[in-house]
Amino acid sequence: MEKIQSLELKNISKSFPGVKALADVSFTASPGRVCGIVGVNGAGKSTMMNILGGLLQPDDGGQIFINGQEVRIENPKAATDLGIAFIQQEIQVFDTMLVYENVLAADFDKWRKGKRSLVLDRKAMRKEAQKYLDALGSSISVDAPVYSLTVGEKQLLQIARALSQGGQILLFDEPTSSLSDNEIAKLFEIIGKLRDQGYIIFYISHFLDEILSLCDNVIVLRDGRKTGDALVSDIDKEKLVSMMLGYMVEGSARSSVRKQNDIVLRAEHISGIRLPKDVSFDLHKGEILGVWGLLGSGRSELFNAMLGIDKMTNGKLYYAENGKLEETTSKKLYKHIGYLTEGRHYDGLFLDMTIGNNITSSDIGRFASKFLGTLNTKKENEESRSLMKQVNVKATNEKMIVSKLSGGNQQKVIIAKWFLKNPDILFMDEPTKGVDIGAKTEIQNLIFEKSEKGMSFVIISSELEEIMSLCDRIIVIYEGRLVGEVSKSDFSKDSLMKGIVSQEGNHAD
Amino acid sequence: MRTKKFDILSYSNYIVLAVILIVFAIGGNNFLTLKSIFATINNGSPLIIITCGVTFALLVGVIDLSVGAIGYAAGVTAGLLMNRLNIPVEFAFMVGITLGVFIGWVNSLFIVKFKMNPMLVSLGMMLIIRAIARIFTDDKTVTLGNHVSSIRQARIAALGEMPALMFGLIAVIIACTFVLKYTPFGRKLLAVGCEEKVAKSIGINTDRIKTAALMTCGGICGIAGCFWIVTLGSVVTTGLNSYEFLAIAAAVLGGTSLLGGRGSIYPGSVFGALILLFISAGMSNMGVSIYAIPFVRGIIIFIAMYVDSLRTQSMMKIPMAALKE
Repeated sequence: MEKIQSLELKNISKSFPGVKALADVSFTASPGRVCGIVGVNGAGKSTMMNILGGLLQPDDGGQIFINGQEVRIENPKAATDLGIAFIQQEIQVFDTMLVYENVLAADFDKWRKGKRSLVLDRKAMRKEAQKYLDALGSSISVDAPVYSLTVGEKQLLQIARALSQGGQILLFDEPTSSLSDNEIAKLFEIIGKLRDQGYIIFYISHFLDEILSLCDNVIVLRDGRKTGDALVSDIDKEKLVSMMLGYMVEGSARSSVRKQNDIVLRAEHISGIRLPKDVSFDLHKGEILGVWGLLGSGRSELFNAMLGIDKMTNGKLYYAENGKLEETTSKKLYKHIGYLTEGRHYDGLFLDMTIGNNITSSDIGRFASKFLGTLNTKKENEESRSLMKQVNVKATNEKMIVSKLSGGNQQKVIIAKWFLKNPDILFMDEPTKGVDIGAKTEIQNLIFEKSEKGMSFVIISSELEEIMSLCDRIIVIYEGRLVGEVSKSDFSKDSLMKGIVSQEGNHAD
Repeated sequence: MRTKKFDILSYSNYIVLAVILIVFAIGGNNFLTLKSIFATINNGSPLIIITCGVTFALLVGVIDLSVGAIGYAAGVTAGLLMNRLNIPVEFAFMVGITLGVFIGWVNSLFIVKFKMNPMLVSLGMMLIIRAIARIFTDDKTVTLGNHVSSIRQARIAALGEMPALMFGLIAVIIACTFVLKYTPFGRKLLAVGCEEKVAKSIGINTDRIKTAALMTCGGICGIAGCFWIVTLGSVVTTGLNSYEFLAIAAAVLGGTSLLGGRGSIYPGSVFGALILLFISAGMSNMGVSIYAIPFVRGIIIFIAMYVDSLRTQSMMKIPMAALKE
């Protein structure tokens, strides 16, 4: 394969039903440079990488040029043939096989002893695999079984495999998300080495520090558009964050500042295995509390640790059941709360069940008779119908299968499900993610309505605009720590941004 | 890298087999003679070979319940060809083995192409094959007489009267081990069984590999069918009954994972089968009731599963510990 001298993307767009994931993105990349790609959740980073990796096709009108020649990347195989290698976030190795087999797994047939021979030339395979491992400066033995390697070493294996497939354009998608600090340093060293050897490298990360220390230039995406393209030397963290977040409405959609009611939940020194680290906060009755931080800051982990889904290594929870704050456990607390998870497709809904059955699943015992436990399906259907109406699920009736609904309506079904249980506190992780703008407003109004009636909310959102318009108070999480609290009167883009920006760089403690 | 530690779990097969042999050597009656060992292995060759066959299916994550029936069908076909049409032995065997490959292909058609559940497809296949084979034999024993007796009775004096048939067995084991360990096909098989999605993403044609694995499995089971009629000298209608479960148990006993991606022919599956064979041989030698033999086999399988889960856990623990450094 000839050496790749340039990669150019021109006017790349990608539409999904209802969403424009990418709009007219153009840029060029050249060898010997690491190009960082940043943006908040849903900004279009992954879509772009998937287009380069052949997993998605751009809309008509977009063009990709390699060495000045237009190419079409129709499938992952085509991407490989063009020298594009995708190093994915999840580690993709064969655990039960050996290191050299993993490195060369893409084309075993190439390694027959002769053209007609059936036998693998294992000596040559070991030598070849060793070559790539050496190039990466790794001391892993080619004969080691892969299951005995650390996560970092497995990642290295993936890079070695990418090189063995002739990869010259390397796409790293969040490679550090499961690595320890030492391993990250090692990975950066390797990426630096590869850069010096003339590879074209793309590096996607949520960690701005990583981008600033590793990359040569950076491309910023926001809502599918390119909002920044700069040399790292010309930019600082604050500028980067403002490009990522863009302009937004300041202030809240709810005009009245609510008076502070009694505390319903107090969390003290909540710590998980890795994240969060020592987070404390109070939640008042009828309050909407926002949790703001970049992805990977430990927002979801905070919920999981508090609610006993992940292990809580340290911390105390207090819950006021009858107006009196008493210490409680995650398990007991879970009975009084609802938890709307981020991944509604895999842990929020029974996709193959009807809307009605989904809604009533949160509190099915309510419809059972006391004596035999038989279900009163008539009452069940009535209740689901009224809740469907309340949250405005657009469907013909409650017997429709949930997987047939749009994302926004599915989300409303989940909300209806929790409204049925009517908990005191509702935890929501990205309640409007992947939901169209109309449904978004409806969901926000439902949250306001319920909070007026005394339900408390704790809400995670990646969208600053949304969190600012929804919440009464916002706590800011950075690298698992609580780094600030902003009350409604002080809401502004800057105050929240500073919450994360000012913390970067001085978290050595 | 990490130094190789003596790991008792990875030698569990040898240890178990040695323990069994010692126990029966002490408790039994002339158990550890060359002659009786040869007889046990020779009579057990259908099980050993079916275990090798099913290993190929298990490695790609398919639990094939039709393996016993495939061997049965191959044996019946070869037997009928010899008995009724007087067709030469070698040719009859070829037809039987080809039939095995064909049934493996039909299985793969349903499992790979139509994405049906492997266990139920092969269960249905097992019932169908057995029914057809019994219709063709009128549910009567087919005697083979002179056709195979010369093969069965051939002994090699220089090797302590070793039955010549055992050479065939050894050849099959070597061939299977070779395919699995030293060919590109074997590596791809492991890769597909280990992580099908990853294998696909790096360009391995996973469907083709699975099809080939099931056809290989069918062919090997066909060979087992030929061994079965030779060692028995006749085709009985209940032949190779429930061998699918014994073979799968033997394979897992030998360290093959039911989820695919991990396992070996030699030593793994071969030793697994030998353990099961010597347990029953030793127990009948000691005069234990024949009804107790399945009971003990069952217990051994439980123990093997426990050892396997320990092995898996210890495998998974290593990277976790390394993470904490």
